[in-house]
Amino acid sequence: MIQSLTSIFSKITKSKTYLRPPGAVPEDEFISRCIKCSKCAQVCSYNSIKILHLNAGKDFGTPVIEAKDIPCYLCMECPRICPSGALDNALVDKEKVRMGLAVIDESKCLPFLGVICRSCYDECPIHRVAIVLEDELLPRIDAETCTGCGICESVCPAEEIAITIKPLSQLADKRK
Amino acid sequence: MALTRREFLKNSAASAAAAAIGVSLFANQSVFASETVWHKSVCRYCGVGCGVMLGVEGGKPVAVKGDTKNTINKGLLCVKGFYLHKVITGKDRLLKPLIRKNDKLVEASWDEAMELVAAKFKESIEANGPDSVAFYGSGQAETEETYVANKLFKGHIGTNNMEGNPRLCMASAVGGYLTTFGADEPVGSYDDLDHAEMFFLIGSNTAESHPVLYDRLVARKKANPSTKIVAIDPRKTPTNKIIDLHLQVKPGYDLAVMHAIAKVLIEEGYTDEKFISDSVNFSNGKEPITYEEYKTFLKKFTPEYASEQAGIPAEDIVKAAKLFGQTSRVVSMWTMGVNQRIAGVWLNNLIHNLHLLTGKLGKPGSDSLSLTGQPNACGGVREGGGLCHLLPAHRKVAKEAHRQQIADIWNVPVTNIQPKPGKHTMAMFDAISKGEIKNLYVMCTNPAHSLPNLNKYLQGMKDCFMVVAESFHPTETSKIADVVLPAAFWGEKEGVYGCTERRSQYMPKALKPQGEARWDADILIDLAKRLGHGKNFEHFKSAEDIWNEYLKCTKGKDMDLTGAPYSRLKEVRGLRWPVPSVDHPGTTHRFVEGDPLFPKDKAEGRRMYFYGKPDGKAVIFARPDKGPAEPVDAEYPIAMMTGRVLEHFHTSTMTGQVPQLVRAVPKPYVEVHPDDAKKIGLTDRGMAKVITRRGELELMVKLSDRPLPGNVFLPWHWPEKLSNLLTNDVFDPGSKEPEYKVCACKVEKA
Amino acid sequence: MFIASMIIKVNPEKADDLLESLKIFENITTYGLHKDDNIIVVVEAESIEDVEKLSKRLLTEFNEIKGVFPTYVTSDDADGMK
Repeated sequence: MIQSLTSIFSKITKSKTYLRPPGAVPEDEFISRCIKCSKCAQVCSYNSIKILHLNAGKDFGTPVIEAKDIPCYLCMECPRICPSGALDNALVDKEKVRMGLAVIDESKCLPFLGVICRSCYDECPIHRVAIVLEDELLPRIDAETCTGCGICESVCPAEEIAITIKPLSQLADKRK
Repeated sequence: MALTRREFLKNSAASAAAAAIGVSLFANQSVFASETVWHKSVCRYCGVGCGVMLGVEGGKPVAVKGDTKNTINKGLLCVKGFYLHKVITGKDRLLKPLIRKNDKLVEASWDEAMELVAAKFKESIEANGPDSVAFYGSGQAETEETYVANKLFKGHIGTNNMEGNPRLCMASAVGGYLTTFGADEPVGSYDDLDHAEMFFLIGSNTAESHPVLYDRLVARKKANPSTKIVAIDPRKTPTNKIIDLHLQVKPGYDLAVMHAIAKVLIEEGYTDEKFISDSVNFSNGKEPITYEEYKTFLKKFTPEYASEQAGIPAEDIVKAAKLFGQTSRVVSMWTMGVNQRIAGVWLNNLIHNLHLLTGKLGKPGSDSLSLTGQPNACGGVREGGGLCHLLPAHRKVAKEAHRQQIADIWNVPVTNIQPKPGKHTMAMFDAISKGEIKNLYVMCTNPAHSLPNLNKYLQGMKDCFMVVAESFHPTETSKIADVVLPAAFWGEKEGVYGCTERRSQYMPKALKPQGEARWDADILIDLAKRLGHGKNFEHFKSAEDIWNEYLKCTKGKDMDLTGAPYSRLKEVRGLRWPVPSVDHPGTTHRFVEGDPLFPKDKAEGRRMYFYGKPDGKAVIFARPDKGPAEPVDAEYPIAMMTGRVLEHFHTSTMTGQVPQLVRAVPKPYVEVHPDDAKKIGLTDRGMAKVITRRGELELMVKLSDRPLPGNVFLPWHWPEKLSNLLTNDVFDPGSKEPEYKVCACKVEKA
Repeated sequence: MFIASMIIKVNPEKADDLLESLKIFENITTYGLHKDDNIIVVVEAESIEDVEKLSKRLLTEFNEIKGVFPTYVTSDDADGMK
């Protein structure tokens, strides 16, 4: 119990878990494979991919996506260009991307507070599938089809962003 | 007391824990519970008329919540309304008057600014006559504000150059109601939504433009799953989620479809022949015709012909018609897709035709209901008479009796009011461009963003002496004004808004205006005094004084509001006119028993008597079908449509103040079908150039299957990319409402 | 200053007593007993380590506590999360 407690705290506070570009292999493998060449960031025409600074410690130089600022628009340019296999070169279908999973905090999400809002639903690139509306009002995530691109997080108009992406690395035990 | 940051964080943390075990911790306890005072009001945005509660704490707006006691929205809000309190303190609030000096807007005192305005108006009126000045108002102004402007300009300055932006959105609906029923505004009310078994939507993206009504449709469908929804719309919209049949017509080619539906209704025997013989006349628009002649007129409009015109399957037209015919209770709803069209009035007539043919009107669950885009287009401008041909309470300047009645209330000689209508909006801005109108007073609207074909009108607005009374600066209009007057915003003034369903609702003053902002009516009264007309305005000490004078105008009219004084409006959630006395509950259906104006003696047993018409009969019109003014051709092969999104309102002067809404839909774009994008070489989120005969814009591309191939869609909210540089300023000859909704363009890779 | 919320799973029979006991801790705020055996608490501490220490202490000192489950952690100064 104590062990798991510590590990949960360390996960949500100390070592940050990053949202990696589409096609990223599991985090441990990603870190060992990524040669920090920045090619994925260069090919990203939306500036979605950022390269971590020195203060990121061992993760310095690796690519990340801050979905709340600029999400991944799933143009699928970066996986094929990765020279190291840290991103899966064979991944071409945006529907097959699994970077993470959108999670809704119902205590912040406007429709759960009785306010009509469909921003995430309208902007989701796996339109009407990865996010569905219960009773045409409440957004629900379909874990099977959500790519984790973070477009929903980038447009959420709730006072505090109510839909966020849990990166793949945090979900390792939940889904592959 | 507000929570400290620490307490807030602790509550958030506890809520997160509670959420993890499916418990709601603070459900019955508002964060602001202790000293927030809640004021019952009406939403500032669209024409639905949702009841909102404005929360004020320590003189500051802290929250807005839905009014659970308001039967329109029952506590529900859309995302715009939810953030309304943030608009009040928005970053662009104008706090001091500005006047142009050396081509720059600089701060000035109220006295200096008002002296300048008065001097300029006086000078022009004396040198060039009263028609050298003009007023351009708004469907977002209070009824009281529009009333004062009307009284000043039409009754005292003596010009009918007094218009408002509802000309650009509702005029065709007005034309439709007047020609068909003889009286403006809907027969039924929102109550019908809860009883309808079919909704017929045409040119209405209800889900985004009227989200709370959309929710009522959803609720109706849930309660009664056999409820059918049919939509005629050139674009797939979010509303499509709940519809059963979509007739995705070519933009601008839906008139033939409406006639074809009428033809099927008659041929399949779905008409209410008794109702037709009792309550309906027929006309070709010039002269009366017979029912048989109408049937002959319809011969041409076979489903196959309409299918060819509109590019939709003929069997879908038949299906839609049969649904309309078979279902006993039908509500039709439409908005700008019908009104902002070169044949806007005609299309309105054709919608009413279906209800008159089948008698699906004037009974619970059936109505021909025009949805309104602005919160007080109906109340202030249509009822208040804020257009160039109108006087208060559904009167016309052209009618001597009407002029006399109003002149008496205004305490002016009848000769002060010109019998000839003034210049309608497009003619007014045309006259400004030509230098014929030299001074313009703009209140609560943004024409330098919202007029069509802006390139043609911007220079004129820069050249004339333009006063803009506005809560926000800069807007496209305030930027080029000569004087900008800071106006009090919603919540900082009291007044009345009248929404879509003839319901007038009271809004309290809950806050002191920001900075030196003043109530628009107060500014206009100040101007009246400086122009030497003070004596007929001096008795207006409060909004209630103005409202009471306006109520005198409504007495005995079809829109009688005598029974709706402030004392009553403050207590209730609005009243639907006619409401002739304070003990009258208001009217859900007009022209039937229960309507206080229903003349039983004249009706002689007829179910409906349209008392706005001499013989009490409404009119079914045989209108020719007419496509868009600018069809696509080889040079401009793509049809360009315009519209709006859920998160923004009009020119985004208000929604642009709310970071959360900006974040949701931050920048302008053009929706392009993937097939077209492929042909042109466009990519998602890449740039495209959209070119019309009037202008061009570079816009971000959003690939979407919402428009059909061959069509593109532009929302019009953003000042940095004005879609109105591209739109067509040709207008409906009846309503003078421009055809914003469709024109021809070409699209290139930028 | 860190603010963390936790769900404390308890023996339902002893839950009310435990709720009272927890109120003695100065840096713990309780938010009631829910669904029979869940006590919601918010802990304020100088560091994450202190939060952890406190959790350990609760588990070892109170036999009635079956588990401590952190659900949320935040910091009340802008850059405390570094």
